[in-house]
Amino acid sequence: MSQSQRLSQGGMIDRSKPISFAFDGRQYTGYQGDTLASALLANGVRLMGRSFKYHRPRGAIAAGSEEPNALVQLETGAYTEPNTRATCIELYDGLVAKSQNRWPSLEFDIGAVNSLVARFLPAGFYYKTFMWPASMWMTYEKFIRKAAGLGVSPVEDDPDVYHGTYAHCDVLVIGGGPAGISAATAAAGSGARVMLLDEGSEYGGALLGTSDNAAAKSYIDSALGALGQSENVRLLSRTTATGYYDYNYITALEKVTDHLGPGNGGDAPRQRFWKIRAKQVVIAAGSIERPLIFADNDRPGMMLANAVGVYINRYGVLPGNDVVVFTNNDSAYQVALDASAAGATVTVVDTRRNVSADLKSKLEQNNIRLFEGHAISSVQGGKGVESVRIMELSADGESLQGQAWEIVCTCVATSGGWTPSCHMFSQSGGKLKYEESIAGFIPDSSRAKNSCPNVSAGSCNGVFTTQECIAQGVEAGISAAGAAGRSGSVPSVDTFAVNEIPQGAIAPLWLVPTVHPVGEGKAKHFHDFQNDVTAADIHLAAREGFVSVEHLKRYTTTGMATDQGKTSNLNALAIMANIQGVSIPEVGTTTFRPPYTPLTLGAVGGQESRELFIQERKTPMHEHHVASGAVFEDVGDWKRPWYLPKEGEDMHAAVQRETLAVRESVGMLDASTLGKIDIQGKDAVKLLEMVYTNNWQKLAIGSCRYGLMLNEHGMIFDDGVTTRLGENHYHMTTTTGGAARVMNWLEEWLQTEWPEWEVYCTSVTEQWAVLAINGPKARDLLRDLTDIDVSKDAFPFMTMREGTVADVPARVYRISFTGELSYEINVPARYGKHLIEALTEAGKKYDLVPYGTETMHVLRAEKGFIIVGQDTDGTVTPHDMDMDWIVSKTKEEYLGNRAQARVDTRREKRPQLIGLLTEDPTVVLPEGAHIVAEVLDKPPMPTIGHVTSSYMSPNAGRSIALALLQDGINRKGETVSLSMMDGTVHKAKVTDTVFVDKEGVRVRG
Amino acid sequence: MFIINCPYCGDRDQTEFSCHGEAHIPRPTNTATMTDEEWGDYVFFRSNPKGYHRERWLHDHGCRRWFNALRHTVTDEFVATYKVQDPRPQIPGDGDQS
Amino acid sequence: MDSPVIATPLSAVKIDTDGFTALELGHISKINLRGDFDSPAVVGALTTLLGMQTDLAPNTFVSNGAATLFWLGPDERLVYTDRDPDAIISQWRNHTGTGAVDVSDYSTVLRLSGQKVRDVIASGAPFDMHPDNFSAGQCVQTRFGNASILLSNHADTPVFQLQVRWSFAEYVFNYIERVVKYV
Repeated sequence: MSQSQRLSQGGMIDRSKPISFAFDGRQYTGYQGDTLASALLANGVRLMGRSFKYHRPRGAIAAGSEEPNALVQLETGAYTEPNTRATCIELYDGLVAKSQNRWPSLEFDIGAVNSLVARFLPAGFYYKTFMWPASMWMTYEKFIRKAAGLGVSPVEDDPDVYHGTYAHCDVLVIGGGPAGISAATAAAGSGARVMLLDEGSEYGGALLGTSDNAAAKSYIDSALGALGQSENVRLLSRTTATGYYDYNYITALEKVTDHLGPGNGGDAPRQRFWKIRAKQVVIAAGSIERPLIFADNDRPGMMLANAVGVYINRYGVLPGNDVVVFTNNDSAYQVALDASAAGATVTVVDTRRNVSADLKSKLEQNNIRLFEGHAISSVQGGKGVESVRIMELSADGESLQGQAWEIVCTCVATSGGWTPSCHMFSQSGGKLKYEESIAGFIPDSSRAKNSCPNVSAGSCNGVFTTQECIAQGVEAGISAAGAAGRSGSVPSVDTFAVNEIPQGAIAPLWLVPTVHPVGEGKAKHFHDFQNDVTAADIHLAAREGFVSVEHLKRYTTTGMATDQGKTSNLNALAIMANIQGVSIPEVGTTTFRPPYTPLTLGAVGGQESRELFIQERKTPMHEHHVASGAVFEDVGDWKRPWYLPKEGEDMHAAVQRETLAVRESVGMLDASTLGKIDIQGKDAVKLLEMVYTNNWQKLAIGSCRYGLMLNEHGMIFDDGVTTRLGENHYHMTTTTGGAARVMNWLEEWLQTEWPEWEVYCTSVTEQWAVLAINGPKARDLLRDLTDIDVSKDAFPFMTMREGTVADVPARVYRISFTGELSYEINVPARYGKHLIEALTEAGKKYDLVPYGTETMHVLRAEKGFIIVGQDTDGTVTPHDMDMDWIVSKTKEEYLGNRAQARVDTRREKRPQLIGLLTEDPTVVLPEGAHIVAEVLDKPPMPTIGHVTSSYMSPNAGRSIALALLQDGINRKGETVSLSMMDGTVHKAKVTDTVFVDKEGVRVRG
Repeated sequence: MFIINCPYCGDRDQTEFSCHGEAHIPRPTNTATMTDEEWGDYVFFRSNPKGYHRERWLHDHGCRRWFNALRHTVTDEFVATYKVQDPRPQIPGDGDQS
Repeated sequence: MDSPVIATPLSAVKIDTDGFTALELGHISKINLRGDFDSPAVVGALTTLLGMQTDLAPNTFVSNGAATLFWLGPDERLVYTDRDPDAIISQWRNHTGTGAVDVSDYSTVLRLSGQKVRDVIASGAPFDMHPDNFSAGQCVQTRFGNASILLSNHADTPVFQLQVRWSFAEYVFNYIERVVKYV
């Protein structure tokens, strides 16, 4: 059976290009220009999936992105994509798709038993059943995931690449139908920079689904051709505006190569995510037809009327040979005529009794039967509609009467009227108003958000003829261009008319009655197909008090599926309004949220994936470290050598070797990542006095001093050494991770609180490449390379000297984070590579050992030097750190001063930094281990502190640890207990924090 | 996503900026004599209005200047941005706010 | 010992494809200048030390062959100079009493040219580079991916320069190299 439903002629497909594809393992043929849905329909395939909750057989009801049913698993393996709308998939050669949510097969689905227990799966079912006990959720979840679900996510890495980009324009036009094209033409003619987006592969919107689309196409091509000539116009087809945010920031997803099939895009990205900033926006997003809600209105073969027209006219496919058109408005009559012209036997069932003579005569001329004041009362056929029964509606539309007529049909084209697509306007912050004449909400332009200037045009604004849409588009384009400051000569835009019958006088019938009251009998009235929500669910929600529209939505899950209720929301509101006896606007609408259609997260990330996800910052010595076999650690964004193992060494062995070497000979650490700030100006010292806790007035030129910074809570937030370079000139260093934070801290105070101070702070972090050499042989090594007098007297501890090192200009700071004789050699970054190579060479005779951050941590812990952010956590004061020595008693003021005197910062039993020595010297306590007041059989146990740093110290010959312990300073000498996760208890002695060279002789050596 | 008018650089994308909370909270000069309550009020307590809010912004990726903005916290409308030393702009519809 | 070799972060790489080239300009001496650029002392120093006659409008730069002066902020300018930066810095500080710092190595500069330049940079930068908004002689401090950059337009053909902190240079280069294929 090959393309049995394909018409012998017509459509915009290319019949010279047959395309083969597979659906559920069967091979089919379609044509270039088909969608997967149109090709399946051409092949007589109506059944395309199973529904979410009840596993009911479903087929496509739409021809566009509003499709709720025909979701397929597209492609396989790493390329697989779940929940893809068959109506939006452009057919390509070799396409492979599977239906979803069925097992073992689409035709025979065990899950359909859910349908038999449907009365147990009403609205709120999950809430009621699965809430208690909470511990059972894990069990329920498995059942829910299996029984009710959609497609399957790929488990492999995404093999595709994506591109994200910013774009700017004067006028962004969303939607490339007649209104959008004419708006873009008018705006571009006015001299505006224009972007025109359309989600389809072809511009034209609704025109593409009309019977005279060939004429329409030439109209469109001519308009697009002219637009394409302008260098101020960017045309983006296959591009959906997904979100509309503040200040006219619109995101859009462009499907660049999806239509070529996986892996066929070459270098081009699969998709592109546009981040558009538009001065003005013209929303020409069109409208979406609503289904009528009647008994078993979800059987395959049931379609929106316009979709039937699109399949016939655009794709040359007749969805069924016997068509029933079921409508409450005029627009579906055109579909009846088109279907009849395509050879179908057509019957029109109209809920109204006042069909115009003109329409009646058109039907008569085409031998189309008409039933006025009738409605479908039931549907026969399971996996596809086989016939419908119709009955006469009572005058009030609340019940059915008379005799039922059975009409054989394989396609039911329904129209409940048209819903303007207000998603973009609503997302922009605009409010909607209910327009009685069209029975729908439209944008209330008087209640648009100031920061999102936009104008709606065309059927999304409630006008439904092509000529009206074009006229509104032109007007919108000109006004938007003008508002964007472009008021060139107003262009004339051609208009165009097609064979169409506008919606006309609509007689809303929101819920077609059956012979049973709602919710009784076997039939189901679906309004939300994708989430399987029925009119009965809305009645149930109302009975249980969930009448607020937001509650209704969540309780019934109406509109919460991947289609966001494009075809269902208004029907649901109307049914609720009916139940409550209020008007539709009184019920209100739920919030329209981005994205408009589902989008790939990969596209949102764009190129910022893998190594571009977060910047990797590298020092000028990085290459040398790589060549030295360094293992790297992430410190902030930086890549720092963590340890440098020799052949056969593990991390522990490498760190123990490096740590010993520093205290025995000399070690070398890349310290380039430390934050560095150049501070100049006559008030520079005033700034230092305010941001540090200690005194800076008397620091001599060429001298260095350690400083601690507090925030206004009185808590330590950074530390570092600052050096006085000259009169009113200082060089501040910060922690690696705190560099930007400290710079902002200084600038914020200077700019906002003390703007009259003359102080200039400049980040010079990357200006300097820094090598720290530490160890008893550091002086000898430095002496070999420098013209600076490095003798003990000429270059004492805590001073800085300028000169050359390895023949390049250098500032050498004699400061130490290891407690060893130490020099931090700073050279301009361009000489960083040179410096490390020169030192490596010169260091050979001194057994120079390069070391990494882990060894640095051990060395400083051996000396009890804190690391801000490891031994502190934003809740500790200098006093808690046993660092009263650095807090000035004489300064009147500094940041964080007052907070030191708060009751809480002065209270007893605050956690304080102490050392811990385990009874068993081989035990290295885990960092974070809790010190408990009392050991109990099992947690919880009263905690009195925790370990902040813990290492095996080769220089102490045993394990060492630092910890925060309540009232710790007074507990020195006591033994405390630490309870481990596995129940083990370690005893440790509370000590001071210095484990090596307690007298501090070495650093001054 | 806002467009923010940096008083020095002009209109820029929000991602170039960071917000640093309520503006016009001067650091007290009498910290030594303040009670804990008064100090706590300075450090911890901020107004959190549903409506117009004066706040401090930093043009991080631009000129690195701090400036103030008068923004409506519901509509996100920026009534004005102004330099730290500039007089405070009026809150719309309020004659007595300075 | 051999004379010290100057290394810059992107000296070993370049991009030269259809419609786009990117090349690091190598070492450039740069000075960050601070002060009140309306004050006679600062105006005088600009003239004497750099031969710059007038101050700059925001988001612009000016070049006189020997030096290029960029606006960075109300009290901040950046100079690229052919001369010894130390001499200029000390004279600036003497003349004006305000700040001057050698930032030669703090950042590096990529020269970007070709028709694709705007689309490449738009991939990571939220600033509108349309010639109406960003013409030759203008500069802008903005964001490219997660990096702060100083972007300057030297010719509308276009020829842009992109300055970025040393430690972010490789990240920015990799970013550009990836998106060049996509635009």
